[in-house]
Amino acid sequence: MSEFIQQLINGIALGSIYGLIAVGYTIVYGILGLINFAHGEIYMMGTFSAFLAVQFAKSKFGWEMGFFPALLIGMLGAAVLGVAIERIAYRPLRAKSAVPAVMLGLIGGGAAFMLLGGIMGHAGVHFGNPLALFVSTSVSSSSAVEKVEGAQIPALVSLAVWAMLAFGVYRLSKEKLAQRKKLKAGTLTALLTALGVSLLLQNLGIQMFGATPKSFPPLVEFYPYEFGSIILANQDMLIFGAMVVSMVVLQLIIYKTKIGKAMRAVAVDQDAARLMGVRLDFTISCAFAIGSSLAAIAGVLYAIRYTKIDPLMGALPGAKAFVAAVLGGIGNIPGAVVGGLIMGVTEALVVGYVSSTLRDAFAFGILILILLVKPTGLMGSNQPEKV
Amino acid sequence: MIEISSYHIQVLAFMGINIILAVSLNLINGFTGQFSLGHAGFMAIGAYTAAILTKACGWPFLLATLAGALLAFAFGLLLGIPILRLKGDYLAIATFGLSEIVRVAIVNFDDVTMKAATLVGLQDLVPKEITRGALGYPAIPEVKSLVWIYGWAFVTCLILRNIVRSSEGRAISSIGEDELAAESLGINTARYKTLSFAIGAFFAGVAGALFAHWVTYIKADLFKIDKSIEILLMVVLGGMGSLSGSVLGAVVLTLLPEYLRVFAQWRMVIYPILLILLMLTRPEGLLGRRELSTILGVLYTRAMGRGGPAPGNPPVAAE
Repeated sequence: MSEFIQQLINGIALGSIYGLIAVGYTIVYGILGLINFAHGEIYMMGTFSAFLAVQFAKSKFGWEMGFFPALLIGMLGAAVLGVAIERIAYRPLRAKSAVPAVMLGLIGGGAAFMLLGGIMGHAGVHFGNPLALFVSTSVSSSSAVEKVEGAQIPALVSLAVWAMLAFGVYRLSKEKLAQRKKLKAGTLTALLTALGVSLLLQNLGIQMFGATPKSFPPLVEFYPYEFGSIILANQDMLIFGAMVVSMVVLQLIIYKTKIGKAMRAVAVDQDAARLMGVRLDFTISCAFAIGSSLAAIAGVLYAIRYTKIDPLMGALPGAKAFVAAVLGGIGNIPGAVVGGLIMGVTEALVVGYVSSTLRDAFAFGILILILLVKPTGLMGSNQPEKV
Repeated sequence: MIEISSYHIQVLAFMGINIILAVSLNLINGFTGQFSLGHAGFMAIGAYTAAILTKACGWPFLLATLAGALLAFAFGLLLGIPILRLKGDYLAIATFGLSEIVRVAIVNFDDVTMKAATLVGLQDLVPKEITRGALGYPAIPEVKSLVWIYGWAFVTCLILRNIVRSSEGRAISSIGEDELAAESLGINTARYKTLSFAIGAFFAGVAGALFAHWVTYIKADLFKIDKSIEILLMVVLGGMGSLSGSVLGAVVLTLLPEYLRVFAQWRMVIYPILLILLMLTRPEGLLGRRELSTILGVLYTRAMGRGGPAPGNPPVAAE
């Protein structure tokens, strides 16, 4: 019995993390009808921005950054990334114009990326990022380049890539914009774009941070509370607590604020909402920002609890959180949390009682089962198909 | 003259295998309009079955390939019946889940069969190592022959071309155009969807068997979602619903990463960027729904001065 309770505790902690990620999927799907496959990578990037911030503060200012500043920076990083992804990759799929914004976004993103690399390189934090070396040599003649030979070549290549991108987008904006009516991008196009963004962020992460796992600093020291043979870690309680607080705040945002009302309106009917004066693009950006910062919360908590982070850390939790969102009924926020908890507890019980190698098979087994039995999820509403 | 090294031959071999994969996936995704993200799972089934049959049971290559393909076909049929009730995003996710399950099942195959055999008291009859789990399956008998690969690629294209042009193929295409309309015209959509799914799975199995005997070492991780996406990209790049487009897509996307090798480790960053740009600029793919022969025919007639609107590409109405 005590083992069961122990597994339950582990499961609820894991499930809270899945729930937090799942909410991001559900918000975006509810508003855009798009499965944001890059959400797992936003979770990863959010965690890494917190990690880099902690490293940077320590190496440059000797400041041992605490939990909350790191969490906030992670949330900010993820939110910026989420909004940028929406602007660059998803908005052109649905918008008539916005291509100049894409161009700006790409160039801005490239500049920010290089600047980040430069700052990091300047501070002596290297993650195998050639851009860091390039910028740090151009900003100051530090000895960074001597550390890694041939660093200029990748830097030149990356410059060439950004130039190519900018050129491509420029052509796109010039030629296609004029004749393009409202593009109803099919499911496939949107899904593939999302998959492309996900792939891009994973590989960018590998290039920037290296593929080897990094140890996340213990921002919250592990402290076990023992009840007989059951161990309740303070970190597990923190994860669950953070999830509950985030959900309460989210509900308040959605039901008590103006932007929340706008988000609900867009979810019901985009065109009608726009006719009523809702700023569609701004609302969607907000949805991405909120979902992404929740993913960053999940990421930082996960990193504190499980200590290791790597650029591919988002792939599997992302997929499972998606299953959780579908399980709860995609588009339904409480459903996503419930789905996440169910997934987490199931996984912990499978690991505890069946086999740890079969955990992923169970997760996807649940998905297929739920899709076959009740595709709208536990708490989703049934929508009739219109011709 | 370019000197042909074993590297070039290897690229050519993968190109042929990719052609089989892309063309067969196009039947499911392009013609039938059923979004599958699980092609790599069927490839894995074919690869493992054929590899085990040639190595452990000493079957001849062709027979093992067919057995692997038939098993993939059976799985496609069996899984297609429940799965294909789903549509759009949900189907994509479910097929993705299926291929993940196939992968995990391959990794855990030995453990599970051993436990099951022990339960019924047959542990002496069941070999300890069948798929060898996460370690991968080594030393598969080598069949490094471009003739086999391109022979199969030719057969695949031929069979799929005939299927698409048959009355069954028209039924399948009508589902891809509009499923509700097809159903209201009396087409048994469930039957044709499952059939096309299973035929696609069959050729994915063939490709898997060819792949296994070329590289001689396979492991379950080779058949992850990345592989499915790669195949899907070929289909989308070439044009959904265009067989020659898929061939073109496979050729381009096999060569592109090789050319991008100049960029060393940044290649996998550039690749998705190109994909996103493709999706933003030409979401219908290079050829759209048209076949290369149609396009060439049109170009030919135009060159001969006998203009007129291109078939399959009606003139846009004045706005």
